[in-house]
Amino acid sequence: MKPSKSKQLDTLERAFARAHAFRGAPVFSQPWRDGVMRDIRLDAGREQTLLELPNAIWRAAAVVALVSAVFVGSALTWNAGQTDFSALFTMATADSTLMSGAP
Amino acid sequence: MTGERVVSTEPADEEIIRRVLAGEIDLFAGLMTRYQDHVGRIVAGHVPREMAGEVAHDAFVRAYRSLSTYSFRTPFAHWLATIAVRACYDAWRTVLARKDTPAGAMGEENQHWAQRLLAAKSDEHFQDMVRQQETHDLLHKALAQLSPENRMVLTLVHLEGHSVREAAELLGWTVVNVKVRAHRARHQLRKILEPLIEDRA
Repeated sequence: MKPSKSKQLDTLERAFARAHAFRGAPVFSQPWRDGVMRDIRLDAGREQTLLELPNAIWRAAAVVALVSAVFVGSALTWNAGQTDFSALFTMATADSTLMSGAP
Repeated sequence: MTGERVVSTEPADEEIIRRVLAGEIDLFAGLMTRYQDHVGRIVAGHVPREMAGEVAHDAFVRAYRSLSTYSFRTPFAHWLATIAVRACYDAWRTVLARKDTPAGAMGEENQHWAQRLLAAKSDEHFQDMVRQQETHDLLHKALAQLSPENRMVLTLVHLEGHSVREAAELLGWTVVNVKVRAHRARHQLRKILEPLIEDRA
């Protein structure tokens, strides 16, 4: 007498489960390990760049702010110097004694 | 017995992980050497040999990326197993997206295999049949007809004997989801295998 369809399916399933248990683990070579480590180092490098990006932005902003401050400061100083000079010139021209060289 | 204590010179996993996280990336190679067989066995259970290297590679890169999330409360091997299983699942999803699944229905040549297997008189003969490459090929052929989700669950629960809870933990799914899928996947596998025994029933 043949076993029932269900029993036969059970046997096939059992065979598959045993076949699965007999599977061998793949052997990974040194070049394979090197490949994985290369990708990991690349990943770490990218991560580091992303971490450093905010710092770079702050540094660039600080440099721009400093340059702007120096520029504005020097422009103001230059203007102030010009004003002082013109004021001095006006004063000098207004004071005749100063121009004549009289004591 | 000499009474001497054998002290391992190998640093513990936890120490290596802390140093890798502190920036000594190259030490990760040590973890990889230690666990490559573990990951290899897991991966080989879910994907064919030609895909195993690529999937294991992906699993280790993912492990490195997620290393900061490792809690140190569970063994590293267990944590790594969840990453490897999920890498296998994602690999099947990618294969499905590419639509290059080598799925084919069971043919007449497979019926001969089933007939020989079902006619095995002894356990020894049964074991011999099971060890044949044909059985492995047929298993892959049957699994290739399942969705990635059902395939993963069927492999973990029915082929590897994990409990539903363990499978749920490994896949990061709910227990109910795995339970329902396990039932459906087994039913589906039996439907796939039915043509092999139709003539005998």
